[in-house]
This record gives sequence, C-alpha cells and structure tokens, in this order.
Amino acid sequence: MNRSLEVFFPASVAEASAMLAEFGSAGAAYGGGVKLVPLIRDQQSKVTALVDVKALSGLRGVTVTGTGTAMEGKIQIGAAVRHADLAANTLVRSSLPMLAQAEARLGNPRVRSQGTIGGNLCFADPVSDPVAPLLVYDAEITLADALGERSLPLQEFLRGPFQTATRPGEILTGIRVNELQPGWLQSYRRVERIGRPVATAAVAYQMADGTLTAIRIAVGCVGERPRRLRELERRLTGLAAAQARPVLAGSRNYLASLLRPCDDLFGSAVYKIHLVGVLLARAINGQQGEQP
Amino acid sequence: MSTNFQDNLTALPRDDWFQKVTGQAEYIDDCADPLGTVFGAPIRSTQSHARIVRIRPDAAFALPGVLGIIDRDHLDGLDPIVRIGEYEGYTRQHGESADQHLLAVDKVRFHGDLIGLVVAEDLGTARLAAGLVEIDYEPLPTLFSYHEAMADDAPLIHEDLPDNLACQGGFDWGDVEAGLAAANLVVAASYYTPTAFHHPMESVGSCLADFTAQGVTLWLPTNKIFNPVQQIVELFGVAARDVRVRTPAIGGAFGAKQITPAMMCALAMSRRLRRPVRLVATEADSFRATARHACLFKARAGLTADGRLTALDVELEIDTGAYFTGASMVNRQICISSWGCYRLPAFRVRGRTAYTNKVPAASFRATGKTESTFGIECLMDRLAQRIDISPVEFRRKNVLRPGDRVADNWRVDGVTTPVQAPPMDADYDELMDRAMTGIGWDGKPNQDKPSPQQPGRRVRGHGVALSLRQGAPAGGRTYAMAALDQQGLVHVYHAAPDLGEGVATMLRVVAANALGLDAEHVVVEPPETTHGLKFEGTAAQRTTIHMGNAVVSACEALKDELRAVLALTNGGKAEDWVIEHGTVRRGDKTLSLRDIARNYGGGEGGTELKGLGAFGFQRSEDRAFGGLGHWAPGAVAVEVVVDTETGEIELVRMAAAGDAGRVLHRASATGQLSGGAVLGAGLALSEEVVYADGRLVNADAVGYRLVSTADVPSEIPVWFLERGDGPGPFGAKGLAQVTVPCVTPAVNNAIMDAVGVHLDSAPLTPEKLLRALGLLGEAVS
Repeated sequence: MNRSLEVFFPASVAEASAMLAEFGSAGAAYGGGVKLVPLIRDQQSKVTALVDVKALSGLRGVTVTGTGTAMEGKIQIGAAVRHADLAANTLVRSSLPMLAQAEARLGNPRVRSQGTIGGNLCFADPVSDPVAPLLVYDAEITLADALGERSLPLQEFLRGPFQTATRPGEILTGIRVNELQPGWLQSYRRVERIGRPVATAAVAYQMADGTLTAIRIAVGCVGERPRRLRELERRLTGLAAAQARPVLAGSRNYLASLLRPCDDLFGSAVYKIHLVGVLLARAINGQQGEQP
Repeated sequence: MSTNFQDNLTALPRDDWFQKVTGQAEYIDDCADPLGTVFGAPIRSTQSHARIVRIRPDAAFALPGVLGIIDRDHLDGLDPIVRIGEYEGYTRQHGESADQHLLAVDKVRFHGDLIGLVVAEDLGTARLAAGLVEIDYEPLPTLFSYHEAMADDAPLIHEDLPDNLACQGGFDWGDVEAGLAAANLVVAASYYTPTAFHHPMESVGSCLADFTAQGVTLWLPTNKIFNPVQQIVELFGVAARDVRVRTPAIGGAFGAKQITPAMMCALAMSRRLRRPVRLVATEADSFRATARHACLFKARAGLTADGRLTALDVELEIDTGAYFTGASMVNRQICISSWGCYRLPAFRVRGRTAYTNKVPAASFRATGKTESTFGIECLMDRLAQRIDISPVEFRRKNVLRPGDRVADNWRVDGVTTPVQAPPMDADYDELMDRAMTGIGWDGKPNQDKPSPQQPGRRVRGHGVALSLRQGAPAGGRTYAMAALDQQGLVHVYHAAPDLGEGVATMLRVVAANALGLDAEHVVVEPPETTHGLKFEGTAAQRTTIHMGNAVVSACEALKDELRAVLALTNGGKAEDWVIEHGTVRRGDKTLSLRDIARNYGGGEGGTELKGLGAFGFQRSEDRAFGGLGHWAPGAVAVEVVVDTETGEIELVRMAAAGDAGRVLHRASATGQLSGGAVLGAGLALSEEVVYADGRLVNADAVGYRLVSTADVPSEIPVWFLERGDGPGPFGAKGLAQVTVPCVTPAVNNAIMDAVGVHLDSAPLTPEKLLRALGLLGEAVS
C-alpha cells in the first residue's frame, strides 16, 4: 500500500480555494514544494493532496501596481514568483535592493530555482531570508478565497514559528511592498554558518546633517519570527550616527526580550543577540570604506 | 619488479569517469529490483537507554501489504545475540569482544538501536508499518560523555561488565617524569574532538539481500567484501562457497560502509520469505549506523631552555558509544599517533575508552589520528607561543629528521618490546615548506594581533600542521589474479572495492606497468568474493600497497605461465622467452598475447592463462606498530581570516603535501590529498553529532552541516614527495589519510596566529572564538 499523493491543477484562485477548503488538513497549496515535498516524503506531513498554484495568473509576476497617490511606489509581487526570478528582477533590484540581496543568498541554487516567495512566507520558518527586508518595506499580504480578498501586514500574517494567519481555504496570492523613496540608505546584512543564516538584519534610514532623521529596522532568523524593532527605531531617530553605537550596545536586553531567541545548533541565544548588535551597528555605521 | 614505469599512465582517464559524469553509474539504490523484491524498514529505538518491556506489532501486521517482522519475538530460530559488525573479526585476532548484536533483546543502548525489521510489498508500506510497531520502554538514565559514563554512580550500559570502561591501553618510552622534572618549561593543554559522522554522499545501510535455497547473494556498498561473508556464514550456518557478496558503484565510505545489523535482518527475512529484500537507507538510518569517537586529549610537555622537547605525557578519554565495534583498535590508533612526529626522549600515553549511549563509533578515515593530531599539533603551537618562536621554526627544531629512530624500546602495556618501526623515511621540512608555499606563506607569524578592545577587525592568520601514520600495517594475506583472454586482454580479479577514490584505475596502471602493456589491454574486474581471492578491504591506507603488490605478483605469475606454456609448446627454456610490449619472443619467433591465448589456451571461451599473486608483510613482534613497513607523513597549511566581531572564520587558502613514494595515478592521488583536506575542513569548521535531552539531535543535513565548495578554497594545491622508496608497487606509498587529521589543528593554529588564542574543542565555531576572546557576555536577562 502506497499512501496516495495527488496533485490538482485548479484553473482559478476560486477553484483552488474551493479545493483547499474541501481537502482541509489533507490539502496544501503547492508552489515550489521545496519544504513541503521533503516533509511528505519523510512522513512528517499528513498532506495527501497538493493544489498546484504556480500557474494561476494572479500569483505571477512583479508589477508596479498603479498610479495615484495611494498607489505610488507600490510593487505587487506574485506569490508564485520564484526566488531566483525575484533576485534577478530589475524592478526588485532597483526598487527593493534589500529584498533582491536576500533572495540572491537564500538557500542554494536548487531551492532558489524552484522555491517561491509565497511558499517561503506560508511556511513561516523562523529562519527566513526575505522576511526582514519585506518588513522594512512595510509588506502587506494578500489572501484570497472564493469569496474575495483581504490584506494584512506581513508582521501580523506571521503568527509564530511555522504559523500564519491563513484561514482554511485561503491562498496567499501576493505581497504588496512599498518602495522607499530616494534618500533612504538601505543595508541588508547576514551572518551565516556553513550556508545557513544565523542572523539577518535589514536597515533603512535617512540622514540629514549627520543625524538619523528616520530609520526602519527588521531582524530575521533570531527568535520565533522576524521582527521590526519599532522601539529601537524610535530611540535612534534624531540621534547622530555616532550616538547610535552606544544605544545599540545598551539594547541587548531589549533585543533579547523582544526576539526571545533560544540556544540551538547554530549558536546560543547570547551569541545571536550579540550578532544582531554587530549587524545593526555595521548597517548604521558602515564598515571601513564600504557603503552602509 | 619492472623498472620501466610508464609515466603516461599516471594521466590515464579514470575508469569510472564517464559513467559517473553522465549519471549512468549504478549505486545500490539504482540497481534494478530482482523479480519478487520486497522492502524492509528498520524499527529503531526512539530511546537512548531503556529496557524493552514489550514489542507490539499488531497494528503493523494489520496493514495490507505487510509480509512479516523480525524482532526478538520472531526470530526463526536465529541467535539474536550473534555478534554483528566489521569488528567481529577482531575477537579472535586481537582478543577484543564485539558486542553489537543482531537486534535488541533486553535493552536498547542508543537512539536508533535496531529492534527489528518490517518487510512489506513496497517501501512506503514498510516504513509506515515500522512506525506502527509500538514499543513499551522502561527508560534508563542516559550517558553521553566519557565523564558521565565513568562517574561512580553511572548506570551500567552493559550489565555483564563491572563498569562502563570498554578498554584501556597505552605505551611509553624513556622516563617521562624525569623529563618533565628536568624541563625549563612545562605546558599543559587539552583539546577535545567531538563525535562526528562520516556522511558519505551515498546513504549508509542500503542493500539488496537475496537468500535462496541455492545460496545467498548480498549486494551492498562496502569496503570489505569478505567480512560480510564470514558473518553470514556464522549467523545462518551456510557454507562460505554459497555466499556471494557484490558491490555496486560506491558513493564514498570513509569507514562507514560496513554490513549493519539491519542488513543481517534483511537476509533473515529473505530467508523466511524466499524473496529478495531491499533496504533503502534514509539519512536518519545513516547517522545511526556508525560514528567517529569523541576524544579528550590531555597533555603535558616539557621544553629545554633552547626549545627542545624533553618529554610528553598524554592522557586520552575516549567515548566509543554503545557497543565495542573495534574500540581497542581505536584506542590503540589514537595512542600510537599521539606523539605526533617529534623527537621525544620520553613519552607516555594512556588511553581509556568508555561506553556511552551514543551511536557506536568505529573506523573513520584516518582512524584515531584526527583525534590525536588535533591535540599534538595544537600543543606544538602553544609551546612555540610560550617561548615566543614561530611555530614553523619550533617544528623544524623538534621534528624527526630522516634517519631518526622514534625510540629503541618501548613498553606496551608494561611489556618492553624493541621498536621495529623503520627510521623516519621522509623529510618533514620539505613537506612543511611545500604546504606553506602552496598558500603563499613564508612561515612568519602575524605580528599585528588585535587587542580585544579593537572591534570590527578582520584579521588574517596562517597555520600549519603535520601528520604521521604508520604505513599499511597488518591486513593478512592479499590475493589477486591476472588472466589472459582470447582477445589478448588481461583481466585483473581482486576483492578491493573502489569507494570513489580510484582503486580500479590504480590497479589498471599497476597491471599495465607490471606487464609492459598499454592500459587498453588491461581490464580490472569488479570486486567479487566467489573467486576466493581474499583481501582485508579498502581501508587503512592499505590498498595501493597490499593489493597493488598482489596485482604485480599476479602479473609476474602470469608472465611465468606464459613463458612456461611457450617453452612446452614452442621449445626452449622458459627463461629464454622475453615478454615486452604485449609480445613474447625467443630469437626470431614472436607471438602476441592474443596468439598465445588462442593457440595454447583451453579454447572454450573465458580467460585462458592465469597467474595468481599474493602479498603480505612479515609479522612483527613490535606490539605498538606491528607490521609497519614505512612512515606515511603529511602536511597541511592554511590561511584564515577571522572576524573578531562576529567570530566568523573564513578558510581562504589551504594546501597539502604528502609522501606518495611514487604517484601511480595523478588525478586520484591529488583527490586523496585535496579531498582529505576538504573532509578535514568540515570536521574543523562544522561537523559534530549532538546529543541532548536523552536523544540524538541532529541526524540530518540541516542540523549536521557539511562544508560545500562555498566554504573551502576553490583551489587546494597539493604536492607529492616522490622518491620511489615506498613498499608498494613501483615504490608507491599510501596517502589516503595524511591530510584529513591536519586541517583542524592547522585552522586552530591559524586562529592563534591571527588573534592569539586557541579554541580547545572542535568544531572551531564563531561562538567559541568570541568566547575565547572574552567578547561574548554570559547572561541575557
């Protein structure tokens, strides 16, 4: 007796949603399958029905969403866009450089060529490359089912490790991202251990006369889910860059209590918090002749 | 032996390159299923240490497609405590006691210990069914380190023993206490090597077992094909002539590819069902098959005022895991390599090996030397640092010189025995220089070590490490056969599996040279057991010397046979017939090998004229290095860049040098040195099997990180010492293991060169580096 595994090819988001609603916990939306398929193979997932969403038109492509003040600078990323395509996309590279960098370093070439951004977000692995940049870009998630669509901020979509706010029958169709206007400096940094990220930081800021006039900070891979560090953002705003380092040095307890990392195979909680401090300091101060 | 070595043969394409590059090589999981094949899935313990109260297979039996189970309650009359494993053979040879059994009866002793095997019509069902077998355990405390195992109140892992000490041993020479007392400086240090897994690219534990009324055929990737024959004979009471062991293409071994208890269970189920049983190993199975020993190397060394070693005292605390699996062999290997390669008036080592509740450890490429070399080579740099001379200069001052003897007598377990090991036959200065040249380093230390208060520095450091192993000891007799067919091709029959390193190509080069033929006229047959040409196995850096010489001997015997046949049929004395360039001639009469086979063979197809070859070393009375024929030295130099804020350690350059005696096949020899260095880099930077909370934590590639090409230098220059002075064919030595043990100490020494501190345990991680530098706070509130 082989346990059966069926793949379905819906023609529309509505049909896909109906299938997922029908299959319940035995069904899953299927993008690249880089996380899902090994779990099924190793009998760690009960999924027996894969609903292939890769070909659905609403889930494809990277586009500027439209014109008008409300839409200005908004970029729509289809959930089924593969990591390698995002990393190479000219619009993403020019308008969302931190996301392009994160996607270019994600996993390995096989994962990047097969895996999709939507699949990555839905899996909600705490160890995720693209989430920290997306949080800085104030990404919003679009979820759809047979009845319609809803949007919510990425931070709210990610409920915890391997947990999202998706309801039964809902499909992640896209991510809407806000391009940062000219004048923002952007820095994505990552410390990895033998190919696996241990800590990532995405930082964007504006400077005027040596003072930080605005800053956004997100940290990934440390703790249960990637986070924006809004309290630290407020503390740093208005400070001279040179004053930022002591603030960061004094923020260890804040970082630890907010991110709540644990000791694991890739390092102790102490080490990970240390790394976050180093990455943030490097992002804000730049390093020996390099751009921040 | 022929002296006209054909140099062009060293550049021969590898025998297997086309099949492997095009994906056509058949590994065990690729071999076609014979008619009626069924599938097995092991039932493994989920506990590290527990009594088995009850095994309940009812739910598994109820699954459609399940054909049967072997466990302690379903044994078909087999003895469940028959000893299984490669080291069973050591029971007689070295008085060791193998104690890993067919399957668990009363207790499980590690997380993954085999409880039984379910067989079903397909693999998915078998695996599902194995998961449905319910086991009631009575948990026992788990012991995951030497210290836990040797504590006074530790529970017994093997209850027939008085404590958890598996074995102990050691040897010494000179007066160590006097040497230390007379020293101007005594330095103590300790270095810990953790448990590791070999992690060949191909999983460990796949096989195809076919037990029929006519005989037993077992396909498995293994380096020792006669060992399974012996074990099958002992468990099932069949005749050796009815057992055939075959190997498909093998995806690496490094000591891990041995017959496993699950394979014996697959044979038992095949015997019961009269159908072939296939095992398809998962990564989780692989990690539970075998491991490398953990070892704490603790040493004290004394120095004279001018920086010469006076004495070295070493204590080893070794953790062998749940079963013996050759523990005393490993204890001995670590002991006899723990003095490094240095001139020491006095030396003492004592190794103690404890059982723990970990996957049983056994051979691992450069068995024992990885543990000892990490200790001794880091200790040498620490000594150099203490007297403020460069580690390179320190080594030049203390290393054994060509012609030096290690000692005159040594005491092995208290018995004085004359040293029969030959004098040092290699020049370490040259090897070290070549390795350093390979990374573009002049041997000068980094003079610009940062202070801990300087943040954000990327600092460069260089390090070197030397290794020494005894060449190709023991191994019994090795046989090979050379046989001429009617096409004029010479077939080489042997039992040396090619693990991916190029054994088959090496044997082709050897045979072609021995016969004076071009390589196209030599066919190296796959390894086989039914011809009865015994060989201990592709291991211990032995194959080039033992099997290479056996093949030379077989070729010489074939030549004798050709001459004898021609003397009988064409006149003259046998020695009048001259063999060269694929022909045999006497006076103006010249015959090709093809003509000889067609005219004077049996004429019924197959091979015609045959020569049997054999090789073995003289038995040695030296109890430390019995059978040592030569020394096998190596050197690795590395350059690292250390980030003192993040602790990241980047291996930017690495080069290796080894004593090849003579390179027989250059691409394969290069692969042995550079491949060994890459394996060593993984052990240095990343690899550790972790146990916590009573279980094995990281038995997968996510948690057990292997270095990839992105983590090692894109080029690893290698250099060979070639003096034609080895005991192998055409003066070759073995060099499979000389670089593996050097990398961890070389990287640690480069870290010390960069930032002034050593790490005291492998792997050398960023976090440990920051802690060693005192840059990581302790508590996070």
